[in-house]
Amino acid sequence: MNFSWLVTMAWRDSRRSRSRLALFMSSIVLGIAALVGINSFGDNLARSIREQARELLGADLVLSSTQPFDPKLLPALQKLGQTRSDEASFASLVSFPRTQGVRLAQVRALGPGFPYYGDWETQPAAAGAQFKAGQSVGALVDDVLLAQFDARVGDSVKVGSLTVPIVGRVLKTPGQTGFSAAVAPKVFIPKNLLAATGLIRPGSRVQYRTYYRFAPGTDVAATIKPLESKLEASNIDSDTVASRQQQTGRAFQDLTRFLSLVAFVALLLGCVGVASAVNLYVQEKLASVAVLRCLGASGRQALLIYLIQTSGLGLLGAIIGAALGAVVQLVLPQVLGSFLPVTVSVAVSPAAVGLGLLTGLAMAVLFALLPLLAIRRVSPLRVLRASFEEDTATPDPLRGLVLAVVGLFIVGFAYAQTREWKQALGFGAGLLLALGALAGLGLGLRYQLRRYFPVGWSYVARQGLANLFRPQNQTVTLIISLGLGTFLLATLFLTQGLLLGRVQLSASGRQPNLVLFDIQTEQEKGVEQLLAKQAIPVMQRVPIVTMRLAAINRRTVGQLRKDTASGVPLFALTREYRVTYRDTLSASEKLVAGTPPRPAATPAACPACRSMPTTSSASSSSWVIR
Amino acid sequence: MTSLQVENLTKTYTSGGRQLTVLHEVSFSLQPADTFAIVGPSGSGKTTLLGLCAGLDRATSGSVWLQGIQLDKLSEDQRAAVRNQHVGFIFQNFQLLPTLTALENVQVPLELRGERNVARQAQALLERVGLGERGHHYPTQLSGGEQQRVSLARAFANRPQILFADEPTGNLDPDTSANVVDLLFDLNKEAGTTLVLVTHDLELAAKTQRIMRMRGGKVVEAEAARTR
Repeated sequence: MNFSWLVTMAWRDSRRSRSRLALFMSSIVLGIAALVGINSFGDNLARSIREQARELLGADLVLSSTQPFDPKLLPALQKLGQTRSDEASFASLVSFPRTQGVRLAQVRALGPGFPYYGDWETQPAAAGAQFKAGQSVGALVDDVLLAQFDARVGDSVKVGSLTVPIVGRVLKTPGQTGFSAAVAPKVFIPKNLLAATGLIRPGSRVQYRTYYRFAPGTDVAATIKPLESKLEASNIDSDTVASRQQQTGRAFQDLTRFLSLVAFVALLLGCVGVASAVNLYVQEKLASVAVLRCLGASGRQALLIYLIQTSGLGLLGAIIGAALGAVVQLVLPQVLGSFLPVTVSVAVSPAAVGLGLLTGLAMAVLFALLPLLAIRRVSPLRVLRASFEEDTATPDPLRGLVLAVVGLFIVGFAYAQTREWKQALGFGAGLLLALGALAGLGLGLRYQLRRYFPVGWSYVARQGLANLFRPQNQTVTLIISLGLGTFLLATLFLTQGLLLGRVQLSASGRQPNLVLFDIQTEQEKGVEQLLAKQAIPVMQRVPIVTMRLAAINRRTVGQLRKDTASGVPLFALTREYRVTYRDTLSASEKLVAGTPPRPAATPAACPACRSMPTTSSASSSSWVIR
Repeated sequence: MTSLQVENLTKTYTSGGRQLTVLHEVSFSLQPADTFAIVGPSGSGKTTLLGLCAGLDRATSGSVWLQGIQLDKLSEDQRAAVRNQHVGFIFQNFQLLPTLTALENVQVPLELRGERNVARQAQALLERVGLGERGHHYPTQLSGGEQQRVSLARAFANRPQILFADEPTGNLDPDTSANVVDLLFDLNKEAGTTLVLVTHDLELAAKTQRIMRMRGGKVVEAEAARTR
């Protein structure tokens, strides 16, 4: 038997059933459109984050430390990357001589070259380019700071002993958001003028950074891996595009996960639609199959005719679905644009389209195969007795195999979407449980109706009910299809509700929309009066105390530093922590372990902690206001 | 070689935990080109017997040899191959494939045999039954008599050694029935095919060489062969 005859028969047989097959195909089209649209969008989002994370960092790698880099490490560090720029930044009071304004600002003394990705946005535009080229003889100052003191380009700014002209107004610079500019406005000076400020002395709190650019395609994380232990020992932090990307990605993990769930549910609904449509289709085709069997077609040939038919339509449905999905992904960034932290550039994702086509074909074959397998067992005797029913008591091993592959497909796909086996297996088990419960419900309904049939009811009602248990009834199939569809949609809405619940908490009227930072104790009264004058209520005052660790689990920092096996990074032991305290948890917080802290009866609970600061008065505070 | 040999054929169904025997120990044999009618009232077991003889079903006990092949030893797929090689069918309700044209319906048995140039053979058969111009029509576009004539063309397409006809005129009016019956017997004579006819129409049965009467699943009378 040649394949071309099977294809010809598949084509011939489809002639009068195309509207039914369109229903089957629409299940695939919608499932694949959702999958391709959402996955393409996800790919575009990931690519945009990757590209914009690079711009956010301004380099491929940033090394930073609170001390000048260890001279012993410098030869190794100088070999890294193609080019590099050094920076020293520190907080300092800056003044504007013309307007007599003074303010605490972040001073960044930068060497030429930075940024390697993204660009300065300055007024005048050439000022940023000159600064980057190392040709600048003055300072670039944040727009916020200039606006605050009514200063302008051409004025002078004084940093320590250095007075330089303001050569540009900074509107945007890589690695800085509008928010961070408002909290800590920056003054950029050329690195070669740093010494002239006279501010770098022993004991000065300076952050040293070096920005590196690597050759395109370099695996930066792998390149610095051999240096990691040495960097840590020297208290040098590293920040790569990948780590920055991870930080940005975390910000909307919920959104991407929810969209993945939407795609998965759409696909599963498509699978349910395929199985239901083909099941009904097979019921209609039993007579034709019996005729073919009678004329000499084998069970395998009869099955292949319909499998070719459904696979062909599945492929066509997947192609249409993928095309539709490509259109959907063009619209998604516009719909979701205002919620996203990055601007998503739109491009067709070949990976998502390829995956969609393969998935569409796989779901058409697998989920159509379940009902189609019955074709192999259609008896030719149906040509003589239309009501003949095949023996279904003997289990079909092939059906068991297909069911196992369907299970693997669902769990495998769930894993592909979640990347967690536990969740994928849990989802598969939940689905199986729902399937079992619905099948049980269908069988139970059929049994109970037959047993307690309401003989006294009207003719129409009796006929309607009797059809639920008569031969060839579709009761169990329909309950499973409709029930599973409802179950999946309910899961989706439940998840949506949970996610929106979280957003609502932060968007509710109890949440602040203005935060004042760094209010010194002596400033409290003045700020209080100012707020009262503006009728702005203070929701919460957050005291902040700067501390250093004294001990962990009764082991002093000194002991921990000597213990090389403690696993506690050195920077964690030596850095300053800005700590607050409260006596109650907020509505969004939950204590997951331990007991709530109580006020200590004695200055310290453990002898080793006696050296810890126990001050009850904060060094500064932040006020949360609405 | 006998064309069809049936020995002690019995068919029992289990229904609601009870055994229901619909065919009791039926035996007969047919030589090539014999014409044979099985007659009896509804429920007498004649269609069950036809199904077993044609290899569409399995007997509970007893054996069927078709062209010397013992059917009860074969799987369903093997019996399908035997049907394709040796058997033709005509049914009361025609059983044409609704999505295929008249020509394609006639082609199917030939295509299943893997033959080439089947369209020419099928067209010749349609012309023989007087439907040469209707080959591109679908079954729903043909009258009952025309459908049964397409069915006849299909039944003879694979040049069968034995033809099974189940109430071939059951759905036709008297005039159309007469035409179809004449065509059936003419084609059968031309091809030298053994004919097994199931009917309750005694006039139609009288056209065959032998008649077997059944009642309650048992043979109640078996006539000796006559020359028609």
